[in-house]
Amino acid sequence: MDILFFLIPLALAMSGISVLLFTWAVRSGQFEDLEGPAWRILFDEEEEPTEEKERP
Amino acid sequence: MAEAERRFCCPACELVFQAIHEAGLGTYYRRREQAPGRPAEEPPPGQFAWLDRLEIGERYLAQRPDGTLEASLVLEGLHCAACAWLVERAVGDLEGVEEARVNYATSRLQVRWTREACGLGQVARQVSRVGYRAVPYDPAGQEAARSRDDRDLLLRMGVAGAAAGNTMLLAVALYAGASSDLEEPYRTAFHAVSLALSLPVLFYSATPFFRGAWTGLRHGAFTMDVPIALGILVTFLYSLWATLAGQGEVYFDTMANFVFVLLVGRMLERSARGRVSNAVERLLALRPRSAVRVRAGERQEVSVEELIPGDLVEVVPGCAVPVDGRVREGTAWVDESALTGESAPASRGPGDLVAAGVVNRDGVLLVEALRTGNDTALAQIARRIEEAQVRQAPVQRLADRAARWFVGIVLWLAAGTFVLWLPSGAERAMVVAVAVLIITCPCALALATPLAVSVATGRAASRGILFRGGDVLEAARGLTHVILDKTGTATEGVFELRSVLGDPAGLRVAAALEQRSVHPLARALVGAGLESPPEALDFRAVPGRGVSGRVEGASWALGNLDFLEGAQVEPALRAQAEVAEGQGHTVIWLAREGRVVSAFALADRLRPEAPEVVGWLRSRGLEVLLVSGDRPAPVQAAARALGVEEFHAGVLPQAKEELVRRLQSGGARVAMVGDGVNDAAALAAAEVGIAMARGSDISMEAADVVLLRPGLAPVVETLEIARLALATIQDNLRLSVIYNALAIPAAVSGWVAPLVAAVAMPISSLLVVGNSLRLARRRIEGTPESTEEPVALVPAGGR
Repeated sequence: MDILFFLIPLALAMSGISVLLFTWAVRSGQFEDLEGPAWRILFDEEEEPTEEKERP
Repeated sequence: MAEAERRFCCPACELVFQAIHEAGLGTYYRRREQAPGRPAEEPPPGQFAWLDRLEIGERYLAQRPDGTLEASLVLEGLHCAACAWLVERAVGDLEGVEEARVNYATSRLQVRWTREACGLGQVARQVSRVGYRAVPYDPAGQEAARSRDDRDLLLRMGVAGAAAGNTMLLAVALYAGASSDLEEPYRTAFHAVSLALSLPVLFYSATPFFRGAWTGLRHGAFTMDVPIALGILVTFLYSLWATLAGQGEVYFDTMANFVFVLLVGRMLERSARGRVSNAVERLLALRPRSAVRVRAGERQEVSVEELIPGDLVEVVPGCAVPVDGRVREGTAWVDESALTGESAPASRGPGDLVAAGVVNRDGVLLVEALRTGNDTALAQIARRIEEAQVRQAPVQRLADRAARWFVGIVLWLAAGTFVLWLPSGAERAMVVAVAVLIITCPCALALATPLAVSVATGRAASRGILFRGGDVLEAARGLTHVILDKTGTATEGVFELRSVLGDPAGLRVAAALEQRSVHPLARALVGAGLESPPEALDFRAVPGRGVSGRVEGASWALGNLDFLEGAQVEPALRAQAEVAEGQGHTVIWLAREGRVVSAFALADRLRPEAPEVVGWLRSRGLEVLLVSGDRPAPVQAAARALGVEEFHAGVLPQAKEELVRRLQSGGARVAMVGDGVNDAAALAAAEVGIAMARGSDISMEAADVVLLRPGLAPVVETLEIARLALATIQDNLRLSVIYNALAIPAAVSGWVAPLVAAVAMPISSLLVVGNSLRLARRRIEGTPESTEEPVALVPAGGR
């Protein structure tokens, strides 16, 4: 069962990484609007005329 | 399109409806019940030029490194996701706009554009073109602080959650090893790792509770944070000792879970409150902030803050006068009901004084400013409200009261247990005593209020009732009196024809003349002239006085007596009119070729559901009063119609507040319902102040509850929701007590293994959660209007 001394720190490290990712997500404002993205997937994107695509 | 005329809640939905029908998918609508919605409000006549002026722009614009400008605008009129989509598309299609994004949760529009190609004014104009309103938003301030706090809470919760999960995993291993001995070094290793995981929880996630407990203790009060902090500390310290001494059980998982669950509860409460604050702030942000200043004959749109005494301001129909001033030119009918409660429109002409906040209904006025900004009567009232709010006693929260005796009892119990177990040795005694402290963890107690508050305010918000804070729910406890304002609250603020005096045929002519008129009394006459009225030629309207024209060959004049310039009136008719006026009606005269033919008695229409609402309130044992700034006659008539015994007329704003305080000093707990500026101080002073969203901004700011739906029925719902929420909080507290009553004997008898504690704690929390969620489903009793359908289609975070 000595393998535990490797596995547990590994699990903790992964846990730590996920906390860091969570922190990044919160700080970059990804939790500000929780309803918008849910609705956006339902909206159709219109075909944009090619001239508009050249906007800087 | 379809057979019947349909009303839509917003232009976006109308577009979508058309699209669906065109695609042949109309059966969708037959299957689905259409929720009644509010028609989109008319945007005020193009007042956006002021936004393009540089100095204004500076305040609201941010410059990005790539040279583009960015701004935030508050949107009004968004009812659903389709609305937000429409605005995004419309603004995004503007020339020069790089990005337009709507935050669905806060109804905020974020726009980015290239400096030369577009401007703030154009964006606002585009939004109003598709049927909504946008107002630039000042990003600094309360909103920013709140979102910082929210992020903070979220991070703390995340850390606690990660720690809780991991310690739970380790704890399972420890439980398994409890029966068949877990050998060293694994046992110590698990203990140590659990300890390490708990450190961030103790020093980061749990700090808000420690701070709160410390603040409370410093002021000598045992708030809810004290038992929480105590529980966390005891649990951690004991487990620390157990790890270092190598004996006993550890409870790190209990502690981490405890903190995590509490933080979730706090987040729920905050997000519910945050949504409501957002909604109210949005309503307030839409105050008219521009005015038209006339200088040397030139009209210029400026922001209201730039006006100084002596400036000449032009006020067009539909707008409110922005300053206290005197009319220089023009006559108009003005609506002072928001300021004074006076229901009938008054006529104002050159030389008359007008106050800021008075709404111009018909006719253009040129007003010379006498007092501006903070000196206006309006601002003074606002200051009074701030003072009233400060003076209000803080609501004694049930949970805080429970917390006080809870801590005492728990400490006594622990001490008693220690003494009880001393014969078995000091160490054993300490272990058992600590187990008592841990298992009586105030988890359920701490969650009792936040959960109920969160569910209740959320449900209320979906029904258009905005509670501005959880403590409002508790303030509604033990209400004895309800004060109703008259104009705009108990009445609709719209005039209707009550009787026709003299020749009844005159009604047709009156309707014919008033077809083209916009002043409030005109609508009543046109509405009452049922058959299609004849045409009026040579129509002339004198704002503030009356109208005249030729109908069916004769010349007619309609207005108040002065307008008719000494037309002949029969004494009998005059007497009848006096009787009507005595009943509180407003009389309008119709003269044919100089001779008065008819007179019309008009009065402010009482809301149809009002008598029923009053009946409901009284059946609950509440005393109902009608208080108004209007003249005695209309107030008495309204009181009689409502079935209210006590009424006060001609009441000034300060007097309204004093009435509230007088009742309170007699031991009464008062709820006040109002909508005008003249109600605001009283709203702030009352235990529960309820304002209508269509009312004035100041009353909304002063109120504890804002009603988005028109009518008085929501008042009933508000009180019911508050009552149910309170009952739920009490239930939760009782559940917590029951849990403790079961857990404590177990602990005292030395029976508490970590497994027992780990299982018992979630159970208590789940019971409280489950009970609070019941609140979301319980039927809310009320007037027949209330159904279980949400009234306004809102995105979950919307108004």
